[in-house]
Amino acid sequence: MKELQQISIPESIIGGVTICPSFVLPLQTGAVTGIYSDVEHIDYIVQQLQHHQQLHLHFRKEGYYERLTVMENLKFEQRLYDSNAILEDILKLTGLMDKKRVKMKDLSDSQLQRVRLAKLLIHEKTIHILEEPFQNLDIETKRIVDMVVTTLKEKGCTVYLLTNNLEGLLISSDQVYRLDAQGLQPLDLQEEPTKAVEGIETESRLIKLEKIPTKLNDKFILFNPPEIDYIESVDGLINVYVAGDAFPCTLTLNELEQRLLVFGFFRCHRSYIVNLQKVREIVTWTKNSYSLILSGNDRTHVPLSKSKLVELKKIVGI
Amino acid sequence: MSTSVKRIQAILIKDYKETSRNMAVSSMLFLPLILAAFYSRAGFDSIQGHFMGINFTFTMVCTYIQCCLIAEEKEKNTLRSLMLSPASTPEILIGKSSLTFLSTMIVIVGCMILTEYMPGNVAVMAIALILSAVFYLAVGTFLGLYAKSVMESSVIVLPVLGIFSLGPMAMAFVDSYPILKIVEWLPSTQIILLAEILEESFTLGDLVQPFAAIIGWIVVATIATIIAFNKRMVD
Repeated sequence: MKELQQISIPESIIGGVTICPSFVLPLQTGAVTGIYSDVEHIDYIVQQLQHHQQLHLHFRKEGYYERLTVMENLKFEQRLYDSNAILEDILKLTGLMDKKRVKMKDLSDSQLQRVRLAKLLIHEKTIHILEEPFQNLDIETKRIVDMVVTTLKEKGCTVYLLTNNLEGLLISSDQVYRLDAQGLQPLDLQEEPTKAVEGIETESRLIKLEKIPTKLNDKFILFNPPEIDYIESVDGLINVYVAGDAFPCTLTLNELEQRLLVFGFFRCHRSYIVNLQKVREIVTWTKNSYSLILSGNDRTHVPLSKSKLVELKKIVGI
Repeated sequence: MSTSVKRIQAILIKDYKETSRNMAVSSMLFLPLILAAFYSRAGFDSIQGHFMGINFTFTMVCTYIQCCLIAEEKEKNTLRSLMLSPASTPEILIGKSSLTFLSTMIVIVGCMILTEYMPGNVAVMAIALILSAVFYLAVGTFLGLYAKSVMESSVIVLPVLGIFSLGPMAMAFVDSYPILKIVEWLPSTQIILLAEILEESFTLGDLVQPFAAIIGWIVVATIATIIAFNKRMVD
């Protein structure tokens, strides 16, 4: 196998607004790496990578020859890539066996996606990059995506998944990174504890946990307090905002306030806690209404109640 | 079999299957044949008449089909996947051209049979026809790379059709409009001149001018095509 080189993405400003910092793709041979980001960033990364010879890119909107049958399409890919893959096995894996004589234009979107996945198995490259592999798919196809990725991994391929669908990413990848204006940061993942270990869990509650757990479906994501922009409580639901995205949290606002006080967080409103390090401006709208503007591109507003203003002024030292 | 030949063959087979199921393109193959049969029955059996069908084949089959094939790849976004595949630029271009080239040659032979035309020197004429086909292929590829859709491609191919296949007819008015002299340098006119030379006794020197003209057109068209292709590859 050829020695893999580090793949880096240069810094750029997309569309004059969004900043994509420069970063190096974390190189983990034979592993599935998920990168969670928004559409603009993903577009930019794909554009940067498409002329890399080592890589195989899988586009969400990849073209196909609509007049050819599934089998003919795959045979063409096989000849073009001079691959030894066994088509029958690939068809079975992707659940296309009964569709192999159907013309591409008669397939549904999910089935088309499966044909594209089948191509991944034909192209014998060491690095595969999949753009939005989980979008607009039926459940069966989502399962197949996961199976294909696992198969690729078993073959020793390195796979990168670029998506803004965290749920699918968590299922399929070994390590998940989050890409935002600050750069590429690993996300800490922790499986939801099963009932059996819950007893031990309560005993060890005494250990002070610095990270803030948020729950997304059946996974816990742990955030470092400095990553958090602010926390909001709406109708009794607590949302932790990290780089513009909301993650539901099971702790109450009071618990969070206690826990985060040492990290420079401030209860600026009955239902808001803000990370003071991220506050850029304090705006007075009228005599009784104030707002905090956070640093960052989107200039998020967080309300500040009048009673808390005095306290805040004391802390800041105005 | 070397991988390069294998890849070209893969593209050829794929194109054949696709085109044979695409009536809009495959029906074009019969148009020059019908025209040739009509002309010969109507009594135009001069060299001009024979080459009417052949030049029509070059534009209608060679340029038009090639242009549609490339434009379709572009429209369906499959050209990008081809460019990203291990196939190199010449492999893709040769692969994409081979189906059109073969069908052009078959249709031309068909036209010649229908008009009962037998060139004075078959070998020289065959080389000239093959070279001309290369030129028209390059034009078709170039236009296909510029068209945004199959629809657009069938429109932008019309001027080519007009200039190259109807151009030689303008030779009749050369005496009253001297500016039409430039028509003489079109590859479609040159091949007619060549055919007229072949009918009589000729020396090797007589062949230089038509061949040089056709090769000149090929060079220009090929360079334009390669530039257009590489430009496509960047974005």
